[in-house]
Amino acid sequence: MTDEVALEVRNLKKYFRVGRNRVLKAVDDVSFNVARGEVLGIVGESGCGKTTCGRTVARLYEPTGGSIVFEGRDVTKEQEADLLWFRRKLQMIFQDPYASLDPRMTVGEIIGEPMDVHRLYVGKERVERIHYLLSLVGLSPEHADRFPHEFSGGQRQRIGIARALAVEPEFIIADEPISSLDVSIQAQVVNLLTRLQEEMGLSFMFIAHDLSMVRHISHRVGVMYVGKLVELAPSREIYRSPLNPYTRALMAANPIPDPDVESVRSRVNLPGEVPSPINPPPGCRFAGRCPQVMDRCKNEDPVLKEVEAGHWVSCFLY
Amino acid sequence: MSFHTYAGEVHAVRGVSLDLAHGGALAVVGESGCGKTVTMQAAMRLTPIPPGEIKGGRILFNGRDVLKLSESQMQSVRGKEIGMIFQDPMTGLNPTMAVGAQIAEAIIKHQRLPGHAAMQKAIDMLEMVEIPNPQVRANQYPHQFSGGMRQRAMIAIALACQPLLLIADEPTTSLDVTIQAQILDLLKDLQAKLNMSIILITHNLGVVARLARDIVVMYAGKVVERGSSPQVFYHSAHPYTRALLKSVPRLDAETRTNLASIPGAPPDLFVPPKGCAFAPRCTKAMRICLQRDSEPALVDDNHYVSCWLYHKGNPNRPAADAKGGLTA
Repeated sequence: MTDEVALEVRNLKKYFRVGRNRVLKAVDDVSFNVARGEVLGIVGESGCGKTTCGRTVARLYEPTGGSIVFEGRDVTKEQEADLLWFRRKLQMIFQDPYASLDPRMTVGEIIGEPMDVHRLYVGKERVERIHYLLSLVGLSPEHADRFPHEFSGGQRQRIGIARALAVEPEFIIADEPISSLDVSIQAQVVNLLTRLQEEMGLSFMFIAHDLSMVRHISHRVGVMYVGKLVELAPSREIYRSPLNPYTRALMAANPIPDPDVESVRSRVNLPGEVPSPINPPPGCRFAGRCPQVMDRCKNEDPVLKEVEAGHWVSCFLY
Repeated sequence: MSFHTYAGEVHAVRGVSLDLAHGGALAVVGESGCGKTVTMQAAMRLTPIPPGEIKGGRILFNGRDVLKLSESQMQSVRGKEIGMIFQDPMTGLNPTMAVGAQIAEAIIKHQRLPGHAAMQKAIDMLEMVEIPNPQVRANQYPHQFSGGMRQRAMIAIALACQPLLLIADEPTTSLDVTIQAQILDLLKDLQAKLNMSIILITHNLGVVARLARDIVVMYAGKVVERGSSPQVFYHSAHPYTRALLKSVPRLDAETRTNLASIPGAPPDLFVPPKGCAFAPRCTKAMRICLQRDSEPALVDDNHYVSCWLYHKGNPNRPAADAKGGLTA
């Protein structure tokens, strides 16, 4: 990991119109950096905007506002036709390894397609690269002629990883890449991703709902709640000293597979449920459930600020 | 328990034994396809026959063999003596019926209360599962409930007739963690309050650590290990259990370490393996493991493990006090 910034996201907004006069603020004023060679984890519950955030950064969605600076260029200001360089350098790995592979293409065609789009490898080199990528992700070259339905979930996710790596990307956005896999297979895929990330010096945005897995794989973790980034800290810090009351509750709710630890852990009982991101009221989005809510929280929006070196939190308590 | 399909016969459950005392909390743990759900559905006689077929065994509930009951006798057991909640609270509820009426239905059927009394009891049940405004909520439909509330409604239905046993099949898998914590706390409170037994089917070891007193670990249609929660977590004996425990990252552990992964994938149950189903993935596999399946061996009080390593004929048998699992 270096100090060099690979990706800079400033005040990113993605709103969706839902019916007349109703706006769903899926991502609302989110800012963060990812250093070259760093894994940034984004964690949050369903509907918090983590997937939309990842897809907007990849410009699969047109942002409503804000800037996305990748290698010094603001990609929000460029036309789609001029983005081919960005599409090559930034690749995605998707959640569902069943839906994200075309069932009518062979594995070789799936992995070769991005190389054709970017005119990277042709002929013998192309075939060799497909075989190399398959062995890189723990499959064998013979698998190139098979179809996705012949593979298990874990193997399909490996194919998705090989496809993402085909065009020599520098940045990977992985959206829930392991949540559809079984426990013993999850560990295999996570180990593979960590190894590839280190060997190739890739930068990563790792999006998932499983806090313990996100914390495991990431250098830094960002916590999202209803479209906002509420805390951003190094992985070790986020467990040792979570600052935002929501992060604390999320941490306490996450069970640890150890009965003795579980029996003595403190619980933060979080009442109620996640509010709707449609036409959200002013003030902190967490105010309605927060055990430490103050008057100010209901009227003003807290902003993300650095309260300790490298530890950012958006909460009026700090 | 087998299923006859077009592709052949699937041997989904291949000889499973488990027991649960009154007031106990048992977790059945395993990965997808290990047979944990099928075992419990067979116990409730919920598997359609055909294509299913129960090839042998017996299921005793309160001294009665469930497999010998008639369908009408069975209907009085389901819902009244054994309650069940499922993973997906949306498909478990009837979308065309108000939630209160769905709870009252079970009460009217099993307790023969008149309609208005049953409805009042339904409202009390909604209050017990901590749904705010139960009077209003009882007249609403499932689509007006959030995922967590639907699961609470399912629990209210399952507990409406105060069953002796609650079978919860992945009750929190489709829920967010903060809602999962609420539901687990609720189940724990209700279990103590109503003095019922719980069988929890799950793949989440964290949930198991929070709720279970006894654990059964299943792999490829068989029980590989069973014992108390501390025995299985701290002195796990079966190589599969040990590997499973080490393959999940913990919130309180060091980050970016290599997770202990289990190579390969579970076997195909169309053609069950001759020996131990885990042998091809096991780091400790011996020659016999591939040829013959092992018998459960006792390693400690009420702690059984199905593994040749612990067979009394094995000269290199690990000592009874050998520590595995989290302490190893």
